[in-house]
Amino acid sequence: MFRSVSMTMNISANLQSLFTWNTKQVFVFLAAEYETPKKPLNQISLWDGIIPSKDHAKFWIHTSNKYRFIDQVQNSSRMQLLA
Amino acid sequence: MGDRKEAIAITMGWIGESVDSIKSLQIRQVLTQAVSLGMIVTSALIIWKALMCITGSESPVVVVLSGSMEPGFKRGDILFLHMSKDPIRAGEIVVFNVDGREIPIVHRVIKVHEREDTGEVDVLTKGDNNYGDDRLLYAHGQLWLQRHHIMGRAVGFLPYVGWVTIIMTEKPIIKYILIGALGLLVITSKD
Repeated sequence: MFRSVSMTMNISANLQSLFTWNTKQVFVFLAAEYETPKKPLNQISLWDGIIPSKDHAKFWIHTSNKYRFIDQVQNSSRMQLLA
Repeated sequence: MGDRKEAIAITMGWIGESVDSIKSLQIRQVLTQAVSLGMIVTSALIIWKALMCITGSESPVVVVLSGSMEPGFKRGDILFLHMSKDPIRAGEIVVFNVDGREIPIVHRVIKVHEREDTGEVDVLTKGDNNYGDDRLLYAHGQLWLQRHHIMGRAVGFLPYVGWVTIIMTEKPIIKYILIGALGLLVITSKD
């Protein structure tokens, strides 16, 4: 019924320049953005993380998507399935 | 006899004037204090309403009550909110009201779907420190937030300041003691 995309990602970044004296934390996220005929804008977060300090701001990780990448179905359909 | 009567009359007059003076003083003092209290309360209301106008949000300032957004926001922090017409996008921290719950929730947007026909937007949120998304928090049967549920975006914060509010809410006796103390302070102050 539903198609969900599963991904493996290699993410590497150097975000040290974002840490000024005033930076509390950096929230990093990777999102899929796409169009469908009925919805001109869709954004789905796939992975996110929090970098607490400059020491951790240069990183490389290998991971799968944290959130399900599944297109939105109409609420009525979903609720029927749940009922 | 005439002199004595006259002396008595003068004395009684003086006493009368003194009593009137004392009465008048007390009334004026009480009125002044009442007006001062009213001014303080009214000033607080004016500041709050002004903040609502400036930020465009029903709740311009909120206190963080849970640890769902740690490590960014901890219990006892104060968040400043702002609402505008800008579109809502993934990654933003929004404040929303759920039908049937009176306390607004501050969480992060992880999914957005915009409809072409109505321009309506469907939003899914999650607390950074939570394992799952917020569907358990929404009203029964509700899967998405819409624009009208969202009261603003978080644009700033102050740590620790909100603890006063939390303590007063959880220990009402402290609230009454504090209000009583402030009231006494105002009443006993001399100009």
